[in-house]
Amino acid sequence: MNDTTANASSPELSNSQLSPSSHWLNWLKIAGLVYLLLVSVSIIGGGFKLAAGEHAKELFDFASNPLTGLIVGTIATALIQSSSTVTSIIVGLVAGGLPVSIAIPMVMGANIGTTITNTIVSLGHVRKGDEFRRAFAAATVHDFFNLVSVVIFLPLEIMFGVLEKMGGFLASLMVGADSLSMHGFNFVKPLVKPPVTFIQQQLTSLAPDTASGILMVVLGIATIFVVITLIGKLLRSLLVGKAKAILHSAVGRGPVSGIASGTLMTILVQSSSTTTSLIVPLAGSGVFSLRQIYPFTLGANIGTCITALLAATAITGVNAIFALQIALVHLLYNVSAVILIYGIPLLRNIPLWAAEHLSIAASANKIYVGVYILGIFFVTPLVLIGGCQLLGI
Amino acid sequence: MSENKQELQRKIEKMELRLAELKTRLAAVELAEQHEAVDHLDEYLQAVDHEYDSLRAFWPVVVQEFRTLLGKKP
Repeated sequence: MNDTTANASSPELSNSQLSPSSHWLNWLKIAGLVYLLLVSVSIIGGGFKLAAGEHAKELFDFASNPLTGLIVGTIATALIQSSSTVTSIIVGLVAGGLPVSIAIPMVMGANIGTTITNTIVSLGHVRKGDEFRRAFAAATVHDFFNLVSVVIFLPLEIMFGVLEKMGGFLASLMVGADSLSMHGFNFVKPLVKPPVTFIQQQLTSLAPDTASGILMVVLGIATIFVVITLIGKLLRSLLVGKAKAILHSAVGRGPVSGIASGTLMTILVQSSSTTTSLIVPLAGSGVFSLRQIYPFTLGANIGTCITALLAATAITGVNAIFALQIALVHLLYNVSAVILIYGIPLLRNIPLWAAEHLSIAASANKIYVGVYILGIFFVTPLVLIGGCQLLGI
Repeated sequence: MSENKQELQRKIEKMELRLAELKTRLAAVELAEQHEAVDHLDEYLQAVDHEYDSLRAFWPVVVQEFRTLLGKKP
């Protein structure tokens, strides 16, 4: 067991120890937090629209290079350590006028950035030789899968815009292309709009439109960060029993069951980082092999899309369709990546091979671990951004 | 010679049956271990909430390896 988990039977985590009233109180808290999440996304959209007006596209010109967008998404998620937070913010920004084409690489980057959490969790096994090697491999197989996904899908997206088109098509089916009104999600609008309008009115009465808009965006981002963290913690404590049941049902079955259980568990805990971090000690102990946990981590990629989809339901107005489009692009991207990469044996084995070899090197010399984390999540992205800026790409 | 061959085939079949039985038993043991590990899931959740403890555990190890690499005494 991990050093950090050895002394860890905290009572707050045991759902069975909660009284029925605390149990219901926690579910009420979650309902309130989900409402706050929807309001926050709407606040970001409204604030961005207020601050940027018709110039939203120009404001994000620096990220019009897909590589820059990818890197922004990667670094932002690695720093915040939550892809759900970043994708919800992106949904809010798209609602405020950020073009979907610029947002797509950012969403792909969020997938890469979120993998830093389970890599950090695996470092807790550092003093335990083979256990560390297995744990680090289990963590980095997710990284390599997401890197391979980007290598395949980003060029395809740049050349043909496949995901953007598919997302747009599905969004128009769900929303109704003619009226651009959220027919399917109208029940959210009357709930979310009053507090957003209230905040906007209060801020615009105190400061000019641009400053108010920026304040709204900052407030929305801060609230989303806090809300998603709290939702994650509450859901983890409430649903640990369900998560166990899901894992029990997947044990000894095939990869499809692994992907499905990873998806379900991530939907339950609303965090892919939690799902992928949980399997690190399971793999580290040697009870589960790398091949067995691999499909489970892929399911986490799919399950995490639910937050952005939920966030998109809060958006109203003409940009609602684009907010839904980017949330659907996130889902389509992750599902397509799993089908394509896991479906083709040659591609399926690349992340496994890379994770196994890196973990052997990392086990022999821990400096590789530092170089890998800093290199993948921070140094390479910053060097690439610098290079793009210098070359004027 | 042919009798010897048949005997060898019989032995192989017997060993293959025994091997298959052992493999089934091993799979059952592995499954039981996996279910037992899943039962400890709530303990692993702590690592997610305290991932910086992992970084703290890692830091002295990497510093020591750096010192060794640079030829300094730990």
